[in-house]
Amino acid sequence: MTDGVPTWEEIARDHGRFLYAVAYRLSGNDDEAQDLVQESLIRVRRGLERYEPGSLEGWLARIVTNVFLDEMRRRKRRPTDALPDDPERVLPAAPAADEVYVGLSDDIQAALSALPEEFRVPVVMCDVADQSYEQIAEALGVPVGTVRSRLHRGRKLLREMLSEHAA
Amino acid sequence: MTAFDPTAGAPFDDSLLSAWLDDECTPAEAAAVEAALASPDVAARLAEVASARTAVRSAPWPEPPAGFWDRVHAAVDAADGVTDSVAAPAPVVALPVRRRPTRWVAALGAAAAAVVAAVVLVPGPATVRPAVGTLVDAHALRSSIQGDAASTLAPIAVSAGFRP
Repeated sequence: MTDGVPTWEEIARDHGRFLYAVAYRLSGNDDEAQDLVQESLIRVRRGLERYEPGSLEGWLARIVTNVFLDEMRRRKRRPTDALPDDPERVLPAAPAADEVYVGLSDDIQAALSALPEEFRVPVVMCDVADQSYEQIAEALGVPVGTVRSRLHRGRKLLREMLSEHAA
Repeated sequence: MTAFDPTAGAPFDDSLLSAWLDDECTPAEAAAVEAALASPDVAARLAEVASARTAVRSAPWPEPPAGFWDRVHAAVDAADGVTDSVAAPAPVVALPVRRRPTRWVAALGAAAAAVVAAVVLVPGPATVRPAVGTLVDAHALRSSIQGDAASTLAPIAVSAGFRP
């Protein structure tokens, strides 16, 4: 660590689980989460010179979210590789046995994955990455009021999907 | 926006419920929420979003598979061209397997092959446009830097007009 700025190896060691958790909740599967974390750490390494000590996890959450959004934009430019983003679509099938799921989080991850991206991202940034509305707004380039609205709608949709799944 | 008290003529903004749970309300907004919670309907809606919020927050964090961090370290070093010059012989860096879907990779590979075949086999002007050699060199350079041989092929296919 130099002048309060950690090395990328220290960040990977101390905040790797955080990065992976956010990446997994955003992407919904282990393979993509691994790719997101890898690309995020590459950006972390390249961006450390510009990092100013502060909310490290806020900075990391912003990076992994940007990597995820960049990937979504790339897929939209190549529709054959795009994931469906229909809010009315049914919940994904049960995960394969070798996928990383833990207990009750199966249903929650399935519901999160079924959320449209515009609602899923603020929910994950708030409820997994524990970011403030202002931090989320800054990361997404939208007004705080938009974050508030999307987060609320996302939670309502999640609640509906979890209730339907449980029924 | 959900009508809270039609007789008062003031609609109640339901998104305040989430903001209240997250401690993101102004004092005036918090007071409005707390007053609105006298309504059983509003209280029920608050309970619904609170349950979704709690479900996500309390879900255990997923764990990456064994060996993941070793692969990430190797990949991050490789991405920035860092090698261990002290170690001899130089180790072979095991890049992580890229597990992206492969359908379009095959399609792009076929398109790139078609571009090369067209340039080689079809008689044309002395000067080839686009400059395929330059594009291929640029692609090889980008691929070596980014480790993604497929996604950078698209510009070649677009330039040659092989897309429908």
